[in-house]
Formats: sequence, structure tokens, C-alpha cells
Amino acid sequence: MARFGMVIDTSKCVGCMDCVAACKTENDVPDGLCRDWIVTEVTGVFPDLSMEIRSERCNMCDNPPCVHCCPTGASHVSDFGKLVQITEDMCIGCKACLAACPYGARYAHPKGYADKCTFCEHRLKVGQDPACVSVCPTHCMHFGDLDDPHSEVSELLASRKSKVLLPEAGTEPRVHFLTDKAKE
Amino acid sequence: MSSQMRGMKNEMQLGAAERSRVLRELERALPVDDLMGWLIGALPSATRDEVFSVLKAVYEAGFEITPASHTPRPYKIGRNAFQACPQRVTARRSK
Amino acid sequence: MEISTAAAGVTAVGGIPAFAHGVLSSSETLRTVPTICEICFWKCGGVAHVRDGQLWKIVGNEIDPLSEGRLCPRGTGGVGAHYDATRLTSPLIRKSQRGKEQWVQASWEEALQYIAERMLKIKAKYGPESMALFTHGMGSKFFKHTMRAFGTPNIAAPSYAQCRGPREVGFELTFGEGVSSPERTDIANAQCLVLIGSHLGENMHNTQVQEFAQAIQKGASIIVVDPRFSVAASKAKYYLPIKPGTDIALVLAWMNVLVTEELYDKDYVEAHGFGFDAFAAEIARYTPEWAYPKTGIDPARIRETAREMARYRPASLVHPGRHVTWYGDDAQRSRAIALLNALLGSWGRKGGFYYPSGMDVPEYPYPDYPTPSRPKADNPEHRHPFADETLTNGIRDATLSGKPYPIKGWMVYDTNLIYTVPNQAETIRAIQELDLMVVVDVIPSEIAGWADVVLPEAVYLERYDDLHVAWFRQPFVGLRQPVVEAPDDQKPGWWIARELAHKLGLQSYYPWNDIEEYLRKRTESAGLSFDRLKQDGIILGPKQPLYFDEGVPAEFDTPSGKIEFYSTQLADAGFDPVPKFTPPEEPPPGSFRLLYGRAPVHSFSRTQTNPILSDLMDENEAWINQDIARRYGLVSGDYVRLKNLEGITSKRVKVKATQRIRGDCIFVTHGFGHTSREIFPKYRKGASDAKLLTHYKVDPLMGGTGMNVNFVTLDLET
Repeated sequence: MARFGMVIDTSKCVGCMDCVAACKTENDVPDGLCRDWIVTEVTGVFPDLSMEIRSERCNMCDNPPCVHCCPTGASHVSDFGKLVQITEDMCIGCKACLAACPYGARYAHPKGYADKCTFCEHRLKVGQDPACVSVCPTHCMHFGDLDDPHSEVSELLASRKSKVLLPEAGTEPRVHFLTDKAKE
Repeated sequence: MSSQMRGMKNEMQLGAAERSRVLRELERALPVDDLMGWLIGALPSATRDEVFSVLKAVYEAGFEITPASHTPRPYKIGRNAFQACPQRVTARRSK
Repeated sequence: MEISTAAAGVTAVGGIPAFAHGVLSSSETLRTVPTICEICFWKCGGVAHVRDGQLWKIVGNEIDPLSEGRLCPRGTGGVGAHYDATRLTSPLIRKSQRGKEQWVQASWEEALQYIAERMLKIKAKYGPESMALFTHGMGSKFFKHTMRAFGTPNIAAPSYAQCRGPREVGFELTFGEGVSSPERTDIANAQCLVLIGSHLGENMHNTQVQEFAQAIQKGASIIVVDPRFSVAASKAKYYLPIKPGTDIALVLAWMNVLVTEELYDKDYVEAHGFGFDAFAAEIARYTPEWAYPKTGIDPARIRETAREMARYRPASLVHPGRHVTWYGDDAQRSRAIALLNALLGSWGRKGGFYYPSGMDVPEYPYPDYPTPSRPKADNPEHRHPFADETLTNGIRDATLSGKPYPIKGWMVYDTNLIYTVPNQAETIRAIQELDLMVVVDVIPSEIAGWADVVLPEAVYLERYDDLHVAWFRQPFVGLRQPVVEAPDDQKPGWWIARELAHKLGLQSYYPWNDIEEYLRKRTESAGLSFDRLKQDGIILGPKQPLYFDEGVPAEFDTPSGKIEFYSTQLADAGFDPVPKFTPPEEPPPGSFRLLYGRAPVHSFSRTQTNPILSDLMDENEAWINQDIARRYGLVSGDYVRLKNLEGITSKRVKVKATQRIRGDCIFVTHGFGHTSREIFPKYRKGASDAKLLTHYKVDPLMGGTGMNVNFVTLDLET
């Protein structure tokens, strides 16, 4: 079975929040909450500045702290794509996972359960990309099987410089950010 | 649809009185090294949703709960098998 | 680290129904309808999804050449326009003084009768020319039709004098044609892209941003000139933090380098240019050393970037921008940009400016319009001789002064004039002179607050509009058709315009009975299938040559028939035949130049009540240089007010203390700070730049209103 991940090219991302809007409508994310978000990091002093723009979401970690603290197993690693998912009707809303996630990827859904990005599992199962990947006008978001060396995501990781978020937390995230300039 | 399965907002067969009884029993049994295991033992006729509703009440009742292990272990309630991380309960902060 | 996230802390659940987490179960039905977005004017083709009878989401139409199957964030959030809880729900007639926002709900019959009676009174007393129409957007067509049938020539769109007009004129004077919309910029193929103030990525013109990303992918050399370190600047090879108002000096110096160092496209200029020697003589004095103290850009940097552009020519594109009404000399600045492109040989070449094409779709055969007995009132004696569209501010002036003749009635369609035209007080004074003020809108905008009658239009997802006959890289026709029903008593624009025409006795101008009949006739007269258009949303036409070397004739509709490096028609009219630099006013001590621009999730002042888009950004921020802010004791997240030199003060606005802006200016996103009482308080946050823009400089060539000419101080007592 595949091990799905994402590769996002920060050199092309313009931080337009199309990914946030698409996720909201696709997944009926409640007002005031979001499953993905934009982070802008600015370095330097005017006018010698650089900026990194990232579209962030749950990192679908290989070592997921949210699963390791769940008292009911609602947070689990599913066979499908080895994705970290939440079985809503098993969640008792204890919020241990919200605290455990170092990325702040989870939120308390008004209906009482923990909620987060699902990599649009319902779309993956019918052969579509996640909504955020499908909508991105700069085509900076890539999705695929990290265990397939010939997948687009694997090839990008092999040919470009990349990083993950908070590597020191030991979570082994599966969302990678390309940090060098795009190549033809 | 699955909204009927989302136990927290639905009517419980297991009433408030029964839940309070279990909570008092839990307090007398402290420390407990595997909260889920203990609850399953204390509620032999309960459904999975009912056990979970009491579990939620334990969290909301101010018990000190910490992970006993970060590795999920198997549980079974009726015919429902699942994996979860066992939790340790040591004290009750407030009544 | 700066975080820009979706709005946090909003607990009220908006009007969007909650489905079961986006999953379509076997019991749910899905219907998809192709249509055209109207959140901005780009007119991307989208496909709306309706699940169990409820509007769910909208994605790009794969056939659409503008969106290439991907909508921008505003388009993606466009379903929020249907669910917007602040929407106008029924016609309204004012029951108190204008501007008090006190209404009586009326039926359509009552409202249209009210309007028609007063329009006919105005016609009888002052003549039909005394009615003016201000419009924006795809729905304009039918309102223009009714008003032309009524007999007035006074039809204006703010998109000219308050936006791209100066650019069209600057390019027409040089190449004989304007830049048009969507811009004919071949960004995807540019090897060097120069952006002057243009902040692609925050300015979310879909096709442009997609092509910008393609240019980045290809390793294009990007040069950004901006007082603010925009998102585009962060992608640039060269960022030039120019002093606001001095762009012409930089462009002149760049041209000086290209000519002096003989880096320009000599063959191209030889073949297509007129007046080059006179032009070269004029710009000989504009050295990088001359430009340095004016612009703050180091001469070495000016030379380096000029040489960089030359290195990649003719695939070197100096972007003409879009909203270019800045300093009052904007047509000349646009002409300077046109000339720079001419030196690089990019016009009509790959990676520069292509020649767009469109399909031939005949108009509906209507009777001729009556000939107005007087010319339009906006530009008496052609004092702005190169204006080739009606000036909104000119109509306003005529309304205020009664000259050249009285304007006694305004109809406003889909444009919030209070936010669009500078100096709100002038607009309000002009409105007070009117016998009739009608606003057609979808939300209770500020301009609607000043109406006698407000007519609620159905939003784009609920209506037909006229065909979209695109003028683009690839010709095509697009259809907007209803996806869901309007929730209340809102009506489509075509119906409103037609019903009004009937009441005005102009039924002969609406010989068709329903809109499908009209659309079908137009479509079929072009040899296309209307049923196919309804099904696919878009029908593509055959691709045409784009560049001179593909067969586009190198013909220029100028007096000389060539690219005019020296413009005799400008000289004859008493203007500079080659652009000159005029230094901008300096901000008085302690004040900042107020600059405004775009955010990718909002359009104008029309999306702040959209629940999805408002969730992503519910207030604008005042960008203040971090070091300057520190001197005022301000950090990001503090609130201040901006006060202009007339003492007009904004609402409280959040401070963004950032390194990303010069110390002499403050930037805000346009469109915020709503004051309309019918707009919920949570959608009224932020500062309105429009409120503070009391000064404007009128472009002498074409009447555009330069608005980057206002200064503000920080009012710390909030």
C-alpha cells in the first residue's frame, strides 16, 4: 500500500490562500477554523529581504504523537495511504491530540470531535488529488506516494532541496517543502 | 448516516446516575494503570459508545490522566475491536 | 515570523449549511453546472457543484483558457456570495433623506414604476442626456442597452478613469492599441519580467498569477520595482525599493542606458519606429546618475537591471500594470513603459505582448438607438483630448456644476462609487443635486445607502448574463447560467433592465421574450450551438497568430503608422511628446504617503461580507515600517487610526509592523472599513483607504484620477 505525502514548492507559492478556500468548501470546514493555512516567514532588514511562504496542514507524520496519545484509538493510522485519520464517532473530544500535535494541525470541531486535514481521503479514493492540490493556481503543490521512487513527489525530493517542519520533534512529517528555486 | 454513531450528542441508555456511580468507583480504585481496560471491566454490558461516554465523563470530571504508553494496545467491547493508547489515572483534582 | 492565517476566534456559524464532511454518499445527488465567475472582472469559467439541491463548491472549468481549470481563492470562495447573510433581499425605497439608510420594502412593480416616472420627468424637463449610468461587470450590457435606448450618452465605467484608463492611452499613443483586458502580456514566455508596482500574487488576476508561476518555473529573471516588498518582490532576482512617485524617472533612466549602450533592438526600432532620433536626444539627459537622487535607486543597479532586460529581449516584458491611476501623470508613465517595451522589441513578440483575438459573435439585431442631441457631459471641450472612454469623475463634475448641462439622475450598477471615486464628499454632494438616484447591487454597499431606490440583483450563481465573447490568447465564448435560485426577491440584471425599459416605453428595444431566446439567437448567429454552450460552458474558437513572426501584420494605428517614439499628436496638443519626470510632492514631516493595493482573497469592497472570504481575511492592516513603528511605540497587532491632512480619520486599523515597506509610506488593502449600517459589524472592520483619499490629481491627457497623492499621520488615541 502507498505511503502518501505532499511536496510543496515554496519558490512558486504566492500565499494566495486558494488552498484554504478550496479546503473549506470541499470539506465544509466551520467558520473560524481551517485545516490548512498560510505561513509567511520574512528574514532581513528592508530592502534586503527574503521571504518563505508555506501552505501548511497536518503533516501525516510517520511517528504521529496524536495517535500515540489517543485514549480511544479514534486517531489512528489508516491502511489507505498510511494516512493519519480520525474516526469521528470514536472521538470523545478529550483534546489530548490537539495538545500533542506540535504543528497545531488539529482543532475542536463544534460537533465535539477533533478534526484536521484528511488529505481529502474521499477524493483520493476516486482518483482525485486533494482539493488544495487541485486548486492551486501556481501548481506548487504535489501529492503522491513517497514509497514509489518514480512518483512525482519522490522525484522532486530527489532533485531539489527540501525541508520538513520541526524535524527535531521526531514526528517524521510527510509534508515536504522545496526550498530552492524551481527548475525548468 | 454516521451522525447516529457519534455518541456524544445522542441519548445514552446508560444514564447519568450510572455514570456517576462508575466515577465514584473509579475514584476508590485509584491509581488505575489502564483506564479503558478498567472501564470495560466496570461496564460489562455497555456498548462501545456507552463506554466512551463514561470515558469522556472521566476526562470532564477533573481526573489526573496521563499516557501509560505511547503504543496502542488492542481492546474489545462486545464485537467492537480497536486499538488505543492506555491511559493512567492517579487522582481526582476536583469533584 | 509573520503568520497570516484564516481568521481565528470567530465562533458564529455562518450561513453555509454543513454537509457530512464533503463526502458524497450514495444517497446524495450531485449536479454540476458550468458558469462564469463574477467575483472579479476576469470572468474565469467555473463549474459549480450542487449537492442535494444545495450549492456546495465551485471549481475551474477545464476548457476555460483563462483559468485552465483552477479558480483563484476569490472564485473558489464565490459560493459565499450566494450564502452571504447581508444580501439585499427586496427592492427598497427610501423613506427619509438620502444617506440615512431608512427604507420601505417595495415590490418590483412599485420600485420600477417609481424609477420610470422620475426618469421620464427628467427627460421632459432636462432631456434624456440628463440621466447618467455608472457600471461595472458583465451585467452592465443590458443596463447600457436600456439607457442608450432612453437616449443618454452619459455612460461611464470607473474602470477607466479610476483604474486602467491611463495605461490604455499611454499604449495607444505609442503602439496605436491599448493593453486591453485581460492584459495581452505573454508572461508565461517572458524570460525577463519587470513589475512596476504590480503585485501579482496579491493581485490575483488568475491567468496572470498562473503565468507568473510558470515564468518562475522556467527561471525567468524577475525585476520588481515597488515601495513595498510584495510577494512578487520575494520571487524577484532584483528588488528596487523605489521612492513612491518616481517611477517615470527610473523608466527614463533605463531607456537612457539601453540607448546609450546600444542594447535596444535596433532592427525592430528601425523597421517599426517613428521619431527615434528626437526621442533619443530627449532622453540623453536622463542618466542613472540623474535618476538616483530622485528614485533612491543606485546608478549601478539601474544599469545592471537595464542590461538584464536587454539580455533577454525581445522576451523581456515590462508589465504595464492594471490599476495605474497613481500620480496624475499616469498616461505619460504608461507611455514611458510602452516606450521601454518598444526599445526591447517586445510588442508583438513572444515573451512580450501578443495580439489577442476574439470570435465574431454578432450583437442582437436591435433598432438603432436615438441620437442624443448633446454630446456626453464628462469632458467638455475635450479638455482631456486623449480620453477615449467616459470619465466617471467628469460626470460627477457635471452633476455638481450643472455644466455643460445638468445631470439630474444617476443609475449605478455593480460599482460602489463611494469606494471607487476619490473624494467621497464630492460624490455625496453630487448625489444631493440629483432628482433620482438608483442603485442596483447585491449587498447593501455604501453607495446603495445614498439611493432613492435600491434594486437587489441575483448574484452570478443565480442568473444568466450576456455572452462572454473573450478577447484573449485563444478566442472563445463563455456562458453564465443560473446554478441555483435566488433565495429572496432578487432578480437578474437583464430582467431589471428589460422591465425598466418596458415602463419607459422602450419595449421595442427588447423584442425577445426571455433571456434564453436572446442568448440562443446570438450564439446561433455565430454558427455555434447554444445547447453545447449550456452543457460545456465554453466553446473555443480557432487559434489565431499571436506574434509578428506568426503572421500578425506589424501595423500600428498611430498618425505615422509606426511605433511613435516621438508623438507629434501629443506635441500638437501641447503635451510632452516624450514623457518627462515631475517630482511628486513630499509628505509633510511626520506624515506618510498612503498607498493601497490588493489582497488575494478580496475584490474591491464587494467581498468583505462573503462568509468564506471574510473568514480568510476579515480586516485589513496598516503596513508600517517596523523601525518607524517602533519609534511610535507600536508593534504588530496594535490598533491605530490613520488621519489625513484634512483631519479625516479612519476607523481603527490593525498595525502590521514590518520590514517589508519603506519608512515614508503606509500601505493598506483597499475595500475595508465599511460603514453601511446594513453590513454586519463583523464585516465592517479595518480602515477605508477610500475615505482618506480626498486629494486626487487629474491626468491632463485623459482625465484619470491619480490617488496615491494623499498623506496620513498616525492617530494613536484609538
